[in-house]
Amino acid sequence: MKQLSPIAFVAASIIGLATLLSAAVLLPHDRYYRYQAHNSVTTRQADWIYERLHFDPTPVDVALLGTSRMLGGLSTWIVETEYCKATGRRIHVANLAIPYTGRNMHYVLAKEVLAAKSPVLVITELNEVETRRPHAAFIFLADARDVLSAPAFINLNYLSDLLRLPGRQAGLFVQTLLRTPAVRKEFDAEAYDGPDRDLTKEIALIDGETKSRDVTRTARHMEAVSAHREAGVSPLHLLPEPLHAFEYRFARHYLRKIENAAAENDANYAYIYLPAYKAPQPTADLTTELNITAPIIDLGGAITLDPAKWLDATHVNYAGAKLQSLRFAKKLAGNYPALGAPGDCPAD
Amino acid sequence: MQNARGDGMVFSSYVFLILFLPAVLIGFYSLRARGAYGASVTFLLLASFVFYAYWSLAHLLLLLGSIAGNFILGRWAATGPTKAFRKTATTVGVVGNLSLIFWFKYIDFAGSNLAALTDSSWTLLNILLPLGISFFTFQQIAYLVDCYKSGEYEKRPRNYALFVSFFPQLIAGPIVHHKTTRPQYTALARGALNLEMLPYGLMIFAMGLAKKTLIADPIARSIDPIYAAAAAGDPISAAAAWAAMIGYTLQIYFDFSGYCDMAIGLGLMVGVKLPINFNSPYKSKSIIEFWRRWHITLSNFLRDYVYIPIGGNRLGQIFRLRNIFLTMLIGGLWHGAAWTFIIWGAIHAALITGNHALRLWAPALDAWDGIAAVTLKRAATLAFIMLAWVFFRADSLPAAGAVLSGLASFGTPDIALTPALWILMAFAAGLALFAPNSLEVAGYLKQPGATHPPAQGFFSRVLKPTPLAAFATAIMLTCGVLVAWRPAVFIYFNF
Repeated sequence: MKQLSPIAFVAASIIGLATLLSAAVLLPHDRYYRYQAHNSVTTRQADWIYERLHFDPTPVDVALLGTSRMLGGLSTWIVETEYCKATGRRIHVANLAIPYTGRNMHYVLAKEVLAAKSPVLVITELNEVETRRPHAAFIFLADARDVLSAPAFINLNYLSDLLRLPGRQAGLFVQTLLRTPAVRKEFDAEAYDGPDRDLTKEIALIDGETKSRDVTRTARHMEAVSAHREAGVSPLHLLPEPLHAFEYRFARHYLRKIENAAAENDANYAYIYLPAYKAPQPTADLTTELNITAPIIDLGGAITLDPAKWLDATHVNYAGAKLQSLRFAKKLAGNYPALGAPGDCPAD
Repeated sequence: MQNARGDGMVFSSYVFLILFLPAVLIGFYSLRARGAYGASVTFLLLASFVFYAYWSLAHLLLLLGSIAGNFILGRWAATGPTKAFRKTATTVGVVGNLSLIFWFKYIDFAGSNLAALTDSSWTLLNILLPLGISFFTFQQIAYLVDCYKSGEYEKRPRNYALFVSFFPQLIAGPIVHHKTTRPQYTALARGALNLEMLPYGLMIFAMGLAKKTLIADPIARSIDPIYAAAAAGDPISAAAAWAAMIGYTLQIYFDFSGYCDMAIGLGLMVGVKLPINFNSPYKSKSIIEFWRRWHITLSNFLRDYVYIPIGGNRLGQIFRLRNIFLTMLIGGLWHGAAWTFIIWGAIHAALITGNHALRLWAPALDAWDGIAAVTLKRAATLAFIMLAWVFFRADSLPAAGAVLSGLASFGTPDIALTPALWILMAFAAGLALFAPNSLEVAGYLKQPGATHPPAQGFFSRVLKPTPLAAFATAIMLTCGVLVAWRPAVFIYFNF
């Protein structure tokens, strides 16, 4: 066979590499296996989300998208019960929060729940500060087309996610082919945690350990952790003024996509403000930066000053979660009194 | 002891494959295309510093200090005004390098064992181990000793710094001798570069990447839970114990040979021939032969700078055997500050000493040849090596004991061992035991016991830069890149 010149050989190898990597992106896989592969956080939340949306016939009237503040901070069972008491209507709420921040993750899950369950109301978490970063686990859960079409500008993970995509696709393809997913081959109703999985009292970590949230901190402890958190909070703008428009571009991009997806699916859209201990409300400057026009359900207030309601500086404890869930149910009933359908309320 | 690992720039990571390596090659060849040959060598040096700084900026300062100190001491060791001055400079350098490695690598181990012996307490310092410290300090010790003996030293700081920090060999070897790189860097700076080496470099690199990502890492993922269970005190079933022992034997083979291939391939891509460090060691008929095939540059270092200085064979056969034993024991300790490494080193020390004793006092056994004899010798050698690897891998002596006692147990496997693991291990064993190795295929290794590639080109009869070879290279690179979305560190990066 004819030999290639050194440069031609290197060029041919690189072209071959690029072609094969591109082809790998097209490999199919079982999406349930994809959600099981997400093990970069402390809980196996993604598995449950997929099971809730695709294997559980229970409808979703209200979809909650957020971070760990929401994951352990809102009990869907309390919200459903209290909402029903207030309105006489039975609703089904799905807490689809995943630890860590990054609006692209909220978009992935919004898309998923809108397609699978057509919720009437989609609610996204809002905090007193907004991250400029994408979610680290986006590459685990996003559809290939969403990874490819992610905004490249002001997206610190774009290149990394793009490079990892062929590997993810190939790995999931092999897992699907060999039927060797991370957790289970098929949905197991016995292992499923049910539609109202509640992580407000305790949380099962990925290593099997269970961590209680039913703990009370001293005021002194809360002051210390709060001061530590406060010291790490960056100002609204880190970039110089001419670049301010770019600073939250990434978050805006995905928040608009979520809003648009909700509108296309005839779903209402709102935000929920989940506070941190002694943190101020989101400022008008921040909501302006994020171009937020949808209603905000505000769960701030007295709870932010009560150390007995907090697990750490940014997460409520079990008592805080109960209070937060009750307040959320009341506000939900006040603002959206016609969700779900008349029916029997969940048993106390 | 902690190690800077995980988030660094391993050769199989994206940041290395997609960003660092292409940037280095483009920069290097762009400069050479403009005739800036000296600048291209300087560029390699700066790239090596960036490579190291990516792991730890603080440790780069340590590396720079080590380079500067040894460069000056080397000059004094070679050309000092008196012999006493030269000897002092050499001694200061050797002691300084050993102190550095002792401080970062062994202080906690020594302190806690001393405390246990004297019934006192030792507060662990938990010093972060600078990557590659065992390699770059050993290289510089050899350099200082050679400067003292030969009266020659490296005059160009750039060449010296590159000799120590050249990124393909900086983290995990091979331990390079100054004499092999000095003429190469000088020639590179003057314009000489055989471009024919570029495709061979890429092919060898791709083979190494495939070994690491397609064989070593998948085996590691399957057997790590077994060693973790052993460390936790759980009983290990026979199947799991055998999988753990065979698996690690193959994992470390393909991990280290993969790394060595990648280092050699990277060197060739920029026109540098690194020494051969790995030559099908599991084909060895004896432990002596094994150490001439496994980590060859370390064996040579230990021979030249430990075994000979402590007496070598100068005081008769008994002292020779004692010196061999001590040298191998030091070799074991070099791998890590833990009793498991010392036991591993002691096993190899005993085996190699016994092997030399047999040659001395039972030469007929050594000369015994033929298919049956060779097969038996290979099998026995491999069996000892495999048993010793258990100590090397296990987290503690009790964990090693749990795996070894599990080999003869009858318990039910409590850790799932998939058929795919056994198939992969069978395939890997076939490659390790019966196939020609990648350097032989590429023509880099021409003579059976060679420690360096041919000086003038190495055009393989088997592997040529054809379109088919380019396609095969692309496939191997693709496999490596696909698996690299969750990269794993190389075993020898820990030393």
